[in-house]
Amino acid sequence: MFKRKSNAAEAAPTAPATYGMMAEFSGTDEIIAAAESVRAAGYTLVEAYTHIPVHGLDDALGHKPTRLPWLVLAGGITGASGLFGFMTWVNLVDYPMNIGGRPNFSWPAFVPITFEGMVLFSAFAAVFGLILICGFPLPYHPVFNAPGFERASLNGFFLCIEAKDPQYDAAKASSLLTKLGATAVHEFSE
Amino acid sequence: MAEQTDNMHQTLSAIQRRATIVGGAALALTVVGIAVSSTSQVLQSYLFAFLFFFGVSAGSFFLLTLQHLTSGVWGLMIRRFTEASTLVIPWMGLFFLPIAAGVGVLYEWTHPEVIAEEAVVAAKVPYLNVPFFLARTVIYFVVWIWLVRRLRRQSIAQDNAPKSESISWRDKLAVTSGPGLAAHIMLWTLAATDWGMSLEPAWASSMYPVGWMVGQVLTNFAIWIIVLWLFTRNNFLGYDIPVDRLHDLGKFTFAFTVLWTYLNFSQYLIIWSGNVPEFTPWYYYRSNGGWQYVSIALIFGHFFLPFFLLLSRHTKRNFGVVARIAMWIVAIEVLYVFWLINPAFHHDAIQMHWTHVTAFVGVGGLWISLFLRYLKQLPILPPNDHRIPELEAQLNDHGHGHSAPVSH
Repeated sequence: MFKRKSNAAEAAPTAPATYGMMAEFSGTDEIIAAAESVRAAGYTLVEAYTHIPVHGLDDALGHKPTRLPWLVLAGGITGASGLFGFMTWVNLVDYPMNIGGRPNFSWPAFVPITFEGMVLFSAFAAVFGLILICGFPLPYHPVFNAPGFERASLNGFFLCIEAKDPQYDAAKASSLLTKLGATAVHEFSE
Repeated sequence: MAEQTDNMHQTLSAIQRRATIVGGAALALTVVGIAVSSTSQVLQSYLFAFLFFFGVSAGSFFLLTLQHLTSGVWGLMIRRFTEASTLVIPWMGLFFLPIAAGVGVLYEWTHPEVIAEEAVVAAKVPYLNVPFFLARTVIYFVVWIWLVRRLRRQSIAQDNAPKSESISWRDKLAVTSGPGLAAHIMLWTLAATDWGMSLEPAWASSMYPVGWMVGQVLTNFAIWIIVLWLFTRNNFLGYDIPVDRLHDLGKFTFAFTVLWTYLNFSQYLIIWSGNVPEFTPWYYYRSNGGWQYVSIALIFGHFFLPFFLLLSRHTKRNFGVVARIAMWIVAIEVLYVFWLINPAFHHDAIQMHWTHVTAFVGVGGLWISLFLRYLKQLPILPPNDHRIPELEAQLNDHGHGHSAPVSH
């Protein structure tokens, strides 16, 4: 996106390229059925935008399962082992102290902090991992050029076939989406 | 559906017969143990078996009332199973009789020399004495039996009422379940203190009944996952368990595994930190004489293993996998109850006696037989439960991959 801006500064202003074909559907079942049919027709660059989470839409779009759980697991293990290791180091190496005659390596006392460290670091991994995977911060996205797209946050169910799709053809995509029951179909630019 | 029910009834009747015979024979063998071994050994073994299987029914009571109150479809999956299991509680009153007869052998607070020697125990005599102990147990059973039978009566009434009244029966069941669950928690707190904790009368922990109760609920989730798995494999139900509902039960199992660890470890940490002579012996006995290996096995087998296995969404949504994890959980729960009870009698070494096995098989066999008797009485899916339409919608939802049918 930043690259595109610098290009625009160099070259003479031209009409922006087509981003894709946006279709609006009336409900959850309709958009799932449409996503399945569009994928069955061979399109691969398809994305859906809905105002509520729609169960089964991920599968219909062919999305791979998220890798976020692995990041969270890694965060949890880092937090737990890191803090357990830190307390061990402090009590054995850095500042050994006799507390109530207990051994320096009194692991039961380390458990609450280890647990809290696990929770804290897995929460960090979940929040920042989500931001990272979603590609935020993202100040501009072409889908907002599609007419009526504001409703994606209110009551709309949108399905977009991107122009980068090797199979993309404006007329065919438009007629397919209309045939699948879209209430409105618009081609829009970047 | 009718054919499946017939098949199921035939199979369950066959299992019931076998369970009665095996259970009866094992109990008879246990009684022989009095002559071969000693009365006190037999009573110790029997107490362990009684407390484990009473715990299964007690955990069922917790879950039965909980699902009446929360109304999730996951509860519909296990409603009739937990109901049948709670109906064994009245019989458990009979099963308590040997313990009542053996109070003087099992509980050392009945021994005058212990009272004379230990001031802490002597101070507890106004509460811990045989007549009051037995009277309390009678009260526990009276209240439990009343609640269990009331819930069953209302459940039968709902089955026979017209469908239009299913919501009003849901509310009536919830009205019994709310105070019932509160009463159950208080009853179990007192019962666990009497039957289990007072085996080591100088010791006390308010966490003890809670940690154990969480173990009972965990055992229940595990047992019903296994039972549902076996029932769907044999096509007894006539419907599939929606994978999202299986996921629910898996998530509960996971949560209760963590809760069990939290409560049991908190108890340990507090006693370890406090380092007070009255409280440390309980853990001292369980950290020496070979019991430490059982304790370590519990840390790894009751927490780390199920925790990491159930962490993944995929294991929780695969019936075969989650059922096998559930079998492990039931096995390790048996060890947990053994670890709670048995070190009280044998501080120096892990002590296993053949009567532990026969008493466990005996009480267990009769428990299974009674459970199946009540399970067969009513349809597994209560026809007028208000959640039936929701379940049907979930079962018909396969088309869009909302909830794929469970893989076996």
